[in-house]
Amino acid sequence: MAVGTISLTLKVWRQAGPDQPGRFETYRAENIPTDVSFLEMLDIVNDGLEREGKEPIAFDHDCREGICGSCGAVVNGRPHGPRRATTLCQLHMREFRDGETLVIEPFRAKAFPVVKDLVVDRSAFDRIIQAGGYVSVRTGQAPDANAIPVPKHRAERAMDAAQCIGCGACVAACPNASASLFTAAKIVQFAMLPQGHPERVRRVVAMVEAMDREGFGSCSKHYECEAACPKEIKVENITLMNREYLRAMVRED
Amino acid sequence: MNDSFSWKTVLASTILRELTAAISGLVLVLFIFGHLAGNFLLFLGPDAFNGYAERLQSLGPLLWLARLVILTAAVLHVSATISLKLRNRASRDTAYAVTRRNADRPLGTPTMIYTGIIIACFVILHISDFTLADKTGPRSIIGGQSLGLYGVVLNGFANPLRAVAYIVAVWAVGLHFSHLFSSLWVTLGVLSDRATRAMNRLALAVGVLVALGFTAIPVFALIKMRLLGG
Repeated sequence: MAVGTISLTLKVWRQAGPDQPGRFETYRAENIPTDVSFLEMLDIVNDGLEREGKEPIAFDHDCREGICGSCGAVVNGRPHGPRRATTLCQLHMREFRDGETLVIEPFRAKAFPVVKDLVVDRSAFDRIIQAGGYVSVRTGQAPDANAIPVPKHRAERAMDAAQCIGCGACVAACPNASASLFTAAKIVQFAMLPQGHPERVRRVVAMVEAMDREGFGSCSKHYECEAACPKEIKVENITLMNREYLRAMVRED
Repeated sequence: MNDSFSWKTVLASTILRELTAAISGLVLVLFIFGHLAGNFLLFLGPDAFNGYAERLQSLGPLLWLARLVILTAAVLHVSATISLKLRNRASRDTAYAVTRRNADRPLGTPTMIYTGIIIACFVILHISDFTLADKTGPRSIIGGQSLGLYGVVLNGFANPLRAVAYIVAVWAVGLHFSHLFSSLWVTLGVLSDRATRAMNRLALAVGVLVALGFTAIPVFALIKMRLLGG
């Protein structure tokens, strides 16, 4: 099958290290096949940079199939690029026109310091999870399947929330750099299920406290997080998180 | 996970501050609706309007209780929103080179700080214009006769500059209110996804309705004083 190619101008944020000043550098991406992914396009550009003896553009990636949450950059003002519900690694170059200029920036938030170029440190998310994103399980024999009944609508809400891959696009998209959508998804996936109930009250208070401690902003209901989320996590989760928080204020642990 | 539930933690949280902003906003909005309903009596003439104003004044301690509630709500609203705004500004230290809005969200939301500042300035002007005005003084006289607060309001809006300033301010109120109308349900954790989205779609129309209601008063006064000669 004949494959089309496009050529692009890239303006890429280059920053040698966390405490180094960063700036945009302009590169040409010539004859890029339209069926390669965005990350493969960066691989091609990096091959060229290495041949010229230049430092390649650093970016995070792992599975390259849209499920690990490692990749992500802001392309022309959109985290993960222009295609809805798609991670950067699953974005194909056919989404762009020949001759286009792409401004590629890291996810920006004070709580996500730049490590290098497009790589940011998202360990703030890990610390939010550590604060309460787990359930207590008795050791011993594996329980029987379906021993605990779960209503279908609650199971669906939990599974929808559990789609979150923790990529940080919600924070990147939010005008307040709020981590509310991430934190909400991680709270709701447990709050909806009986397995999550023993820690239900403590979890929401502890995880929100951890979220605040990391220096993320608050939720002003701009809905930008939802528009950027590659897994289509809904703002409804923030409604449910707030409900959980109010519940924690009136319920004994 | 912390073993004990701590009120200190809860009181310091951003969620509680958002909640404070929303509930105090709701109290202020309920006051504004009552205020608007009362002010519509202006259309019925000086007797109805001045009678309403006098009945309010005669409430005595109850009036002061209401004022205390409104003042408390205003102080909580401003302190919660300003502290959140400062935090939210600090949470992104390097700005994006390209920013664009990708979500389909209500117009009121990104303009809250501006409409809020307009409203705060307006409240000061408004109180000095009417609440503190001499209701039987020269500003109450229309056609050689004192018409009380009714006269003060009509004379006040006979100045087109003041009328325009008020109209700008009440449109800021409408836009500001539209954000509350769309965001309240998420903050309170009360409505389903579908219902919340329906509220988002309605929000701007509801804000415009409130603004139109308030615009009617200076427009009425302007027409009455300028075109019909008082």
